[in-house]
Amino acid sequence: MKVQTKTVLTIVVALAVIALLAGLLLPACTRRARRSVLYSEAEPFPGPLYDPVLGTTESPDDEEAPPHSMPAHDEELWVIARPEGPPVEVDEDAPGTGALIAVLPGTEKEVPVPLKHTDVKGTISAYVAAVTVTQQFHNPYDGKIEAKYVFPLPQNAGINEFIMRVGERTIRGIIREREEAERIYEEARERGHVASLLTQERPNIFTQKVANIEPGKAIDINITYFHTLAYVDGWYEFVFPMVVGPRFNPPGFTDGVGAVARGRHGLSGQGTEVQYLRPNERSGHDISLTLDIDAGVPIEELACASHVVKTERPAPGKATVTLSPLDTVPNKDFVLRYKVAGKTVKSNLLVHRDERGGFFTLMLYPPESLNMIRRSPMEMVFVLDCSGSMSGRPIEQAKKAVERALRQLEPDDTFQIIRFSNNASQLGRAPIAAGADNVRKGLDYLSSLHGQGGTMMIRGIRAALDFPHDPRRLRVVSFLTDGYIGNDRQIIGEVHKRLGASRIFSFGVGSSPNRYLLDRMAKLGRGAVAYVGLDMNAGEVMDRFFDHVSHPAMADIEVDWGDMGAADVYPRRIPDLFVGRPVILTGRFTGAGKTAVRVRGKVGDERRDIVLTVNLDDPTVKHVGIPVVWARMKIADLNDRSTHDSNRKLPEQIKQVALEYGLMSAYTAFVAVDSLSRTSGDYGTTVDVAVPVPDGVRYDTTVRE
Amino acid sequence: MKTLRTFLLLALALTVCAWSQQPDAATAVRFEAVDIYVDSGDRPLAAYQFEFAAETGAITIVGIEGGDHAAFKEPPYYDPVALMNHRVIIAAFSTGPDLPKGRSRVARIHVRVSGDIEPEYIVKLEVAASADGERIPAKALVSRGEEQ
Repeated sequence: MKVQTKTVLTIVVALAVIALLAGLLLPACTRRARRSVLYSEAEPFPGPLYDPVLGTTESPDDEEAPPHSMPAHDEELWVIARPEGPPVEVDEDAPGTGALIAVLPGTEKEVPVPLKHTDVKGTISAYVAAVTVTQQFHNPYDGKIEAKYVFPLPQNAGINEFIMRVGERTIRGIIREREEAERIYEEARERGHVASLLTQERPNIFTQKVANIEPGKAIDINITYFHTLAYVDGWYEFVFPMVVGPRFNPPGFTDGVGAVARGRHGLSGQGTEVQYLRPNERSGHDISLTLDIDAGVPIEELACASHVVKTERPAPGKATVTLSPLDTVPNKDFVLRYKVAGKTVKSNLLVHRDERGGFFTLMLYPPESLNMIRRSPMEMVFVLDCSGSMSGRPIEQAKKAVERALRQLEPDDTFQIIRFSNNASQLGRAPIAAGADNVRKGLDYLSSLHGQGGTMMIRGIRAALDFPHDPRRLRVVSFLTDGYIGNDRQIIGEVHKRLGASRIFSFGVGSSPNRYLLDRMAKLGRGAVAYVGLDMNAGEVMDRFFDHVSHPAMADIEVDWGDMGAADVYPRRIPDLFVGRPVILTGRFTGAGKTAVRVRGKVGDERRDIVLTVNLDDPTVKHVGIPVVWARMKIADLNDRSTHDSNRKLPEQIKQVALEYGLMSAYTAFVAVDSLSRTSGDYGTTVDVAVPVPDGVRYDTTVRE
Repeated sequence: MKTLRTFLLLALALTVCAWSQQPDAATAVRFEAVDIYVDSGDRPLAAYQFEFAAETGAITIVGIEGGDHAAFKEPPYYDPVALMNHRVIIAAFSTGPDLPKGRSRVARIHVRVSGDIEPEYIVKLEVAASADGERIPAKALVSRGEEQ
């Protein structure tokens, strides 16, 4: 009897233990199994990894591609072991159980992407632009998806509004600390709610995720931002970037921006990754753009070299510019320039007051008298990016620009040409006198250069900034590059560390250059930036650059703000003023009424003053974008400091400013959740929005297959 | 007796098993919507501002939606500074001729609720105004939204 009791008890305890273990382990197994199947699209594609840039081939351990299959909405799927057999061949266009694929006549194949259309609407008042971008996501597949899109915005955009439209309903997104926003998004996604998340990867690169898009459904995302326009050589310039160019990341670097072929998620091993359409592919994603300009003064001329546009002029100071329906492929920056009346534009202060206090922006123009003074001898260093992404039209444009510059050097000048790709090399060991023979040698060297290999820009920077400086000459370092690198912060930090007495003038080459990198290099380098588009006359761009450097800059600038009570002014170090290149300052103020602002600087050994009379109480004008512009510039200033300053409080300071002003930053993100509608089943497959390589960029030299 | 003991042990094992599968109360998360109504009586409502928070429970605001009436259909603006202090101040105005009267849903707030304490929401109407900017008597109400 005792034995029987013991046996029964043992069986019961064993059963209890089995039940307990089953209770603990089976849900975990189920979760893991679901992940292994449903995340399959997000796993690195294990094919042979050929790096066209480094020319190396890696052998992956696992040659199997996971099957792209999905369970039905009400189906439980348990995977206990991986299958040993060969991988199941599936169409890479079909991340779910099927897709609406259209193969068009000819060689180009239309591939389905979850981003159908982008609409851009901008308004410009004075030199401040407010832009709303609407991204129309949809699900062309017959399974539920999460859409992921890496896209560019202007590097100085202050993004302060994020709205998600689900059918007739409109939900305003909330700014949160980035990690918190990411957690909320993941939780909402796993619970079947429609949700969206906007994160910043670089000041000009963002990731949009939209979860739980059901088959055939559409979700719109509206992003609104403010930014100031550049004023370049008498023209205001509005830029809307449409595609992120393929970035090169140095070996061992993992926090970059990878460039991989469509469907090859994870291949680059970088924190951010852009998928590119192959040369024989196109997506149905297109773009529309409308820009309303209210210049405040008559507009003399409008020009758009990048796109075909239609222009209407309802009044002398107003214009409406619309992108032509014939030019809707989003593969290059939209660049619109306009010239306003008047021989010279005067310095201009805009103010805004609200419950937070007063904010201002000041566009400060150089004095006209700078044009009368000639420059001193220069030491010109041309640094040419000869990497694979520059091959073809971009490098030809860069070479034309350098050629024009070499021909304009004066006998007292010296020069040097440095090329870099995987490594850096140069024309001579020391700066070369700009005599006719040497210039000819320089031109010969220039003509031998071509684009191939990686973009080890750090080597180019060291080569350009490290050799001894001739104190009798002004050293001007001109970088000519598309800026397609993933280690932007490392480069900016290096420029700060090695700058010395040099001034950096960066030339962005191509249809979609990395404007964040080029702008920051020029700002840190106390120089200026110019862009050489593929359809521009590179020689003319270089001529304008020589106009700038042919006259001394107004340096050591200090501002006496009078009774404005100005504080927190950015940039904290006021850049030098070059001919044709105003600078924008922004700050806060407490004063009222009319006051005089006095700007003092040095031109050569002479002191110069600019006096501005400003009215802080103009009741007719409201510039709601100015607080956003101010907060964005403060964040940019803190961000620049963080590239070379190890102060751990800087990220916290950036976060606080961003949260207080509801702004996007590296440490904040926008999240929106529709808690009312809950989709059934798991959240489906993640589908990256593949984009075309920028116009003029070769796919084979820049994208990993 | 033996049968009873066996039964009790089995029940205990099943209870333990069931308990082990329960989500941790501290990490239990759900999302819900909270509807905010403003009742302006027989006066047309042109503008409002209210403060919203949870008296109990741990909530995070994850989205703000507009109301039922066309005048307040677009999602209202929020004060990001207030949001840093676990509450939200929401405001909107309409310049259109068609304005709501009586009880009207002016906003819907999407929240993430964590933990097992049921949140008790509070809404404090700071101001309600007519089209000519005059303050009008009104009251605000909170109601849980229904899943669709």
